Amino acid sequence: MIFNLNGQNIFLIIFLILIASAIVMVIDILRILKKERKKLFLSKDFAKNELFLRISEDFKKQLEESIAREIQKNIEEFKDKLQKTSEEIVRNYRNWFEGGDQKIQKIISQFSQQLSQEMEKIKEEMAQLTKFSLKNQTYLSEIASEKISELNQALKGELSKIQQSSLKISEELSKELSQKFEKIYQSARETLNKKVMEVEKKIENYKKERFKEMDQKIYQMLEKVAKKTIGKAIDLSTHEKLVMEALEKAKREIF
Amino acid sequence: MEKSFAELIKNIKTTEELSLVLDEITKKRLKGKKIPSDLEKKLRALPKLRLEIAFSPPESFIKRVSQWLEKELGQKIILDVVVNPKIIGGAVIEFQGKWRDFSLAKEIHHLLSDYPAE
Repeated sequence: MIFNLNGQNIFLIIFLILIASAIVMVIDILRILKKERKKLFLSKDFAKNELFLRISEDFKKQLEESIAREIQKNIEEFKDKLQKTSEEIVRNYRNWFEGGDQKIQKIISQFSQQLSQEMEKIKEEMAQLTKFSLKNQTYLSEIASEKISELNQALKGELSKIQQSSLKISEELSKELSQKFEKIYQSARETLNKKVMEVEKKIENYKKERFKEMDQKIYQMLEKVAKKTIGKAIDLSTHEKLVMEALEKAKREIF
Repeated sequence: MEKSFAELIKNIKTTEELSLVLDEITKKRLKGKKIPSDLEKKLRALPKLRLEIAFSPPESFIKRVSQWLEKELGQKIILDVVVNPKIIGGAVIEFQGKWRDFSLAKEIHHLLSDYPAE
């Protein structure tokens, strides 16, 4: 990565340096204050083991004010020093950068030359690579087409096998189905025939009964008619003759 | 007396005539006339033949039947004649617990009822 030295970056570097020096200053001031406190207050060990000195409120106030004044003075001094050193640093850096900019430019131009050379090399390699890849591509496509044709042939073979097996299966299925259908048809036909025969038998019986009834009725009527007509037609001598015949029959059977 | 009774018995052909004779005997006995004690018994013991016929028979036919029966059976038979036109012709005869139907009605019935069975 190339570090671009423009005005903004320079300012940022200076600002960081200033902040670092300010932090160092603050640490110094805190150290000084700690020393002062040690002088003003009694240590804990002293308070425990030695006599405790009573300090008046006025004295305490005066002491605090003198400390504050001292701190203010120190801060003022620090501010002056900080300003002076920062100005000095900025000046030094500006001089350094003015001299170093030319060096950087030189380095950058060298770097850019190297970069362009490298780019050329990469381009050449890329071209070689593309050539190689084209060759590979044609080779691969040939192999692929061969494999595809092989696969196609294999597929054709498999398809024909599948077709044959499916044909066999369908033939077997159709045979089985036709056999089953035949069985069902036969059983249905048998049951139907049975039913038809039963119904025919019933019809025949019904017919016979009806005819019998009708015959009976007809013959009853005929009987009535015959009895009436014959009874009226028979004369006395015939009646007597018939009775005598009956008596003759009775003689043979019951006398 | 016995002769007249014998003739009387000889002339009895039907149950009606027999009952008339029995009534007469009872009447005479009531009047005090002497009648042989076994006569009524003998009369009542005479065999009877029930003759069912289709026409109302004349006296001559009853006589003819009675004579024929006496001749054929060798004894006096009392006729119980029943007229039933439904039998058309012939006779239904019952004698000593035996019954036979020789009527024309039966013949016709047989003829017509057998016919459909054929």
